[in-house]
Amino acid sequence: MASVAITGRRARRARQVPGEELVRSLYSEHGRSLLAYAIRLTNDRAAAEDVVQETLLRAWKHADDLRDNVGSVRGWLLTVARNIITDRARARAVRPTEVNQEIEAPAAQRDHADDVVNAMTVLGAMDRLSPDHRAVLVELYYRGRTVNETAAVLGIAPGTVKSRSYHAVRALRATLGQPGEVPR
Amino acid sequence: MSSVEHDRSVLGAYALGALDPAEERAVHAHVSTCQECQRELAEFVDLRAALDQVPPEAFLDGPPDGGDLLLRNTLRRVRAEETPAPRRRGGLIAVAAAVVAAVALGGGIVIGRATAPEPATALPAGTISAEATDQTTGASMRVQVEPRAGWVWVNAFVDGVPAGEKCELVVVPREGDPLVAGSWVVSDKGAAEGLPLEGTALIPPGQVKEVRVDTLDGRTMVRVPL
Repeated sequence: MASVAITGRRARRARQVPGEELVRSLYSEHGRSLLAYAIRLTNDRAAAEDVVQETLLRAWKHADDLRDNVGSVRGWLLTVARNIITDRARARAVRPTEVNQEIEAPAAQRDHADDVVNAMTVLGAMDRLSPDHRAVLVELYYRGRTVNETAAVLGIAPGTVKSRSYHAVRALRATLGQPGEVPR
Repeated sequence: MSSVEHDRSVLGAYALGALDPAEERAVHAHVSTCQECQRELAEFVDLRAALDQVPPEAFLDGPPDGGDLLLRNTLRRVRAEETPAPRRRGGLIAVAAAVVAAVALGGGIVIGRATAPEPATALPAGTISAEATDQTTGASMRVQVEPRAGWVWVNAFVDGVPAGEKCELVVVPREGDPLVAGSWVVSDKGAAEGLPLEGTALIPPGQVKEVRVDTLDGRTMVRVPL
């Protein structure tokens, strides 16, 4: 005789871990970015995947931080990923010379905090640019394209690329810089 | 001439290093004589330090290439952390590391049982845990076989079986015929995230030789010896 107790209830329950949808949506929106970044920093696909997992796990644990964060979610994730990689590298490097650890750790942690603000703040500021301005900035600076290449990619005139990049840079400067320094 | 050269709109692209060499030289020549442009440019160049905080990968969108295994593994870790750690009993602590993984899995099962009549947080003494992955099919299963009075309760977590497969949870005694403890068809969700199952079999505790997932057409997806 065999008794059957395969339960749909149980299966549904397993899919309903709170915040699981958050992890799914972060993964589908930011996964490529996170993984590519982690692969570049670690030069190791398996290690990079583990970093991505750990990053998403921290995002899930700190969902409130993520929600309240005025900067960019992607900036938060990338910064956390980098911190994980840095911490692991430091853990490996520091272990044999524990004497140095005490001296170096506070400074390193402070650097982390500063960088968190910066990367998230910059990306947050870029997110507030108009999509046209943001696209020009990304092509010119982060993808290393020339004005003419960017013009071709975006299907606009080179003169438009120049003027948009000027306005983008000014707008970003205004958002990030101290108010007194902003040219008006 | 100077009105053409004093074109501030090129300063953005210039500061970003995106002009072609000839144009860059021309702007450079002008800026070196124009204090207004120098002031503005100085601020733009400062901005590059801020931009450099952001890696170029920040501008890739969407999920990673190559399937959702990474997502599945991540969700598994999320679930493992979500479920409260089960209280372990002395009899189990001494068992090997593979069993610890199965105990962690037990958390997922324990949650479901919190509403059931029996006390949920501890595995009954004599519970046997094991797991295995089939290298050929890629399917894996973790099982806990809990003793009952003359029969066994089987908790299983089956992963890596493709969607659409019609499966049976087969419990094999050391002597006698295998028993089917349940059957199902793998959904997309079940294929992606794994599927927790439970069943029972009228096999005396200690007499279970292995637990298998077979397809209804007779292929064994994964076999877990106990």
